[in-house]
Amino acid sequence: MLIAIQLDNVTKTFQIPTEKMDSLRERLLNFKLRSRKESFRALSQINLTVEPGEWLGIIGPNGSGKSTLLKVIAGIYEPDQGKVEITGQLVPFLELGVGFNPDLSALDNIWLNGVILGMSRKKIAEKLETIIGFAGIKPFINQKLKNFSTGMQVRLAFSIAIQSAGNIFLLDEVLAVGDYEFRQKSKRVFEKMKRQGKTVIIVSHELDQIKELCDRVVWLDHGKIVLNDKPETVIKAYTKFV
Amino acid sequence: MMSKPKFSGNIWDLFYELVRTDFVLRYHNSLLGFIWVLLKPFLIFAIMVTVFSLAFKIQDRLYSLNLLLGLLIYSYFAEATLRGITSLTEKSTIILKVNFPKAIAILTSVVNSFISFFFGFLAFLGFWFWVKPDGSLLNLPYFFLLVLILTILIIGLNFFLSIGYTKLKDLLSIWEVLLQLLLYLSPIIYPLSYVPAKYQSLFLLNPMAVIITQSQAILITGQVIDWWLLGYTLMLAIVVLIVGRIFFQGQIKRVNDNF
Repeated sequence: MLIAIQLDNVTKTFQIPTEKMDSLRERLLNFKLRSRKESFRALSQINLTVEPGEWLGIIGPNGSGKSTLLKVIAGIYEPDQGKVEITGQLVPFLELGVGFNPDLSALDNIWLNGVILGMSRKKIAEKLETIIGFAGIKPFINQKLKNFSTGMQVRLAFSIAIQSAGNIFLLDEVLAVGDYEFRQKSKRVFEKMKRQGKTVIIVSHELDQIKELCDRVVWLDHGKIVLNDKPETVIKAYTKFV
Repeated sequence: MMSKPKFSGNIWDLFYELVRTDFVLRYHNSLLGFIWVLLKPFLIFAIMVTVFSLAFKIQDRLYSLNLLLGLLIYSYFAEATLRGITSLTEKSTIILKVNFPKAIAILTSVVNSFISFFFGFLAFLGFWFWVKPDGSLLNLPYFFLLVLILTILIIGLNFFLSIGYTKLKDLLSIWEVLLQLLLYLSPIIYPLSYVPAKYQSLFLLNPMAVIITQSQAILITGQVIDWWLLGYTLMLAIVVLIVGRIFFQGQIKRVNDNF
């Protein structure tokens, strides 16, 4: 059987100083206390397998380790135990508009955000018209991003993100963006991604959307998997619990 | 084939866009924009020449040219390391969201300082033709070799500095003070001959002193290059680069925990 993402016994711990000491004065004053650190186990012994083309939803309360899990899969955090392996190209959308700079024009931001998401400059040049068209910002393309409304910035970011080529997508709370018209557009994009057989992991608090899009749902709490099953089953148990 | 998750894009395209962004942002709100790259070394040079050749009445015909070249080299080092020190922290918002090839941030910080240096050097050439010193421009390839050595040293140092700054924010202030010290410990505003003879070899352990005196020797005073000094500096730069790179690779895995 082919596997898109595999997590094998993954544990991630953060060392959090009881008082954050990143200046010399604090270090000197607290010299004796230097070793006083608390470790916080964000993920403990996670085993998870995602098949190609599968859409996996991750739900759980704030601080349960959902975002850390995505970051470990994306390779942003190195797990202290266990291993993460993927097949193919991964596109992380942990935030829309990574690297966006308010002092750059919308056009410059497309180039910057595009390469950060792993697109080549050639690919961006090919997709430029599509991106601008989808975001609906053609008249403002040379204006600085700081003059855009938040909604417009998010639309631009989303339009760039969906053009990046990959077969594994990690989406962190990026579903609910834009106005009604834009949501309809993005819904069609998701349907297309599904037809194309992309593998997707979605972290969201919007349970209805998770139920609609995902084939399987993982419920995470205190860095552990509570339940890993069909969407209806997990969401039912989760809502009952909450 | 299963593998560890890594950056899937084209690293050089990413590099190009980061450099371009730095460049655009640097001048986006300034009236004269890019002209500052040329104007700044000119103005600083004018101040220095006024202070030292007029006020202190230094008689050497080549003094001002030596001063300009020394300042240019020093400024390149100072600017590139100051940008390097904050390079990772500045990009932390990106690094926390994308599995980003982090050594690229270090290289980016050097490129824009190099561009300033290059245009400053063009301005220097203008003065060179005006003063007509004894050195020859046929020695330019040796000069570029010296600049290359300096650049290797800068990148190596930036590997240490950028990681250090994520752990300890005081490093920036400490480094600024050290740079001031370096300015006066290198033969920039005074010639090497002012240093007592018995201390000169000790003095030349400082790679900045070697690069400046050697550049002045070949381009301005028309002396031959000291290959022993050059070899020493090259070795030092390469060692710093290699050790820096190893240190960086070891530390970078956990750098996200520092932000």
